[in-house]
Amino acid sequence: MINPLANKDIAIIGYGEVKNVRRSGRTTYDVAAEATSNVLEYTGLGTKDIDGMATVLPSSEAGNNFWSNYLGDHLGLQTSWTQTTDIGGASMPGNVARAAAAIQSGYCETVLSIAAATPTTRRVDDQRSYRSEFRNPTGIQGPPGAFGLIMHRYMHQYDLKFEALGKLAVAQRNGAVVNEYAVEGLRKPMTVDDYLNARMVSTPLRLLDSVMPCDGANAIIITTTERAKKLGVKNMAHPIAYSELTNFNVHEQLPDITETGFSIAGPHALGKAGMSPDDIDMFHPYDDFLIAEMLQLEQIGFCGRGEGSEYLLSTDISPTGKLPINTGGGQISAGQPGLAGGQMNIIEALRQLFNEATDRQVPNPSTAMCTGIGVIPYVRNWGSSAVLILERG
Amino acid sequence: MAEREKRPRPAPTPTNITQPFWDAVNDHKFLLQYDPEADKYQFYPRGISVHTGKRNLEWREVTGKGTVYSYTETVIPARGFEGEEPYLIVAVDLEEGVRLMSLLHNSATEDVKIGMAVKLCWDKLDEEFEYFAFEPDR
Repeated sequence: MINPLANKDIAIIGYGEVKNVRRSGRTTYDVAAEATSNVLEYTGLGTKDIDGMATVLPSSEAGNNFWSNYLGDHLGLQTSWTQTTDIGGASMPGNVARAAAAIQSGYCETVLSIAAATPTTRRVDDQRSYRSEFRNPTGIQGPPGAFGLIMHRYMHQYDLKFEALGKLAVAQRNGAVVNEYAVEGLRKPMTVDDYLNARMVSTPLRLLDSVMPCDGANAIIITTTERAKKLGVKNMAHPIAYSELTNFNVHEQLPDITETGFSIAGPHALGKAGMSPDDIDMFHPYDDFLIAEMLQLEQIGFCGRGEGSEYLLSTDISPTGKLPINTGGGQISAGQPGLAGGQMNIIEALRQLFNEATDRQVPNPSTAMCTGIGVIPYVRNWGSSAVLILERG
Repeated sequence: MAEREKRPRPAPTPTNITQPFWDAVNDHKFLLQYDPEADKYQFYPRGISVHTGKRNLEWREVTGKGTVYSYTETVIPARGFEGEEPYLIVAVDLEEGVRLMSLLHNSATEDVKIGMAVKLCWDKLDEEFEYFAFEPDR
């Protein structure tokens, strides 16, 4: 299996983020500027040290077909490689691999990978194709409705224990309580009973299965390991394997909707890294809904198909446990700043790998797996699945 | 909780691809795209066969009979459905081998089961336009 990241010649050297806030009233450019300023300060670099930029197209700027031009201009970046990725929540892990490939090909040397979105202040996306004709007129409650269908089907085929999802919700909430960047209203402890008694949105999916939308931004800087060493950076982490799959099973008209592209991308990424799930010190999955994390655990191979409930109930997933999961709260408890939520898990993994997670620090982690999920196709499971494995440098 | 303001139910805007489909729905007929080379149907309507990559698609009228693949009861309503909650959405596998999603009418929540037989029915969106839905096939 070819792995362009095998020799650890690419390094992520810092992170910057903005506190998640509902209805901030700020522009996407302003939150992007704050995240950029923070990552520049962290790394000691200036805007003129950046020659590449990768971003995601957020719903707050989706009407702008020159988004990356405008964003780079606003931030004062002159770049020889510029990339907007639009595979939803898979875009930002995807951008780490895309930036690495661009750097290895010589198009640029130092990339700002920036995610910014303010969907609770402004939302201008207009998705056509199947969505406007075959989804919206049915009355299905968007993503919660789609995951309601997935959960009922999962319950038909396997054993789903809601106490297991409740345990995951509580573990992530504990992370958000000590995460100063989380949405303030979510920084209160909760119990499994709070989860079980939460209001239904689209059965059997509850309000506390779901993310809370907000505004926010975050950024990382990716360069060569050689340059990172020359710069004398205080911390670095290497992306050591990446795998991505879009439109899983698109040819099948009657797919099993409990199955996703992670059944391919998960084992591929582990294979490229020469690892088994036991080699992963902590798991930072994309979490639009709790059930999505359980499906990823099963399909990446942390446990068998249908064994997710038992696995969660029998595994310590706290920061000091066997497999810490989404230690900063994830998007479900820290808030989902639109598609910028897709890089929050990478930021949390870096903070942990750099031993900067204070109250929620995982003891001396050396590896992390981060994932991304993009789009909900017509009566299917999600469309894009991305798996990124990081290792402390 | 304050009552949500009722907004119009979203209606599809037919495209050059889907116009024959919606014309048929408004005549209470259900058409699927069929690829004669693959001998397979597909849904939703596309500009290409996902089976062969050819533009050889034919519209064929189908019976609209199928079984429930999954379901969800919507408790917090979507835009245009305010005041109608709770209501049922079903994913249905048609006999022709495609999966559709829409409202389930004429069924109590406790009666919905995965695998139960359903058939297409019609839903007036407004004076001008009809949409497809499902009901139990007893």
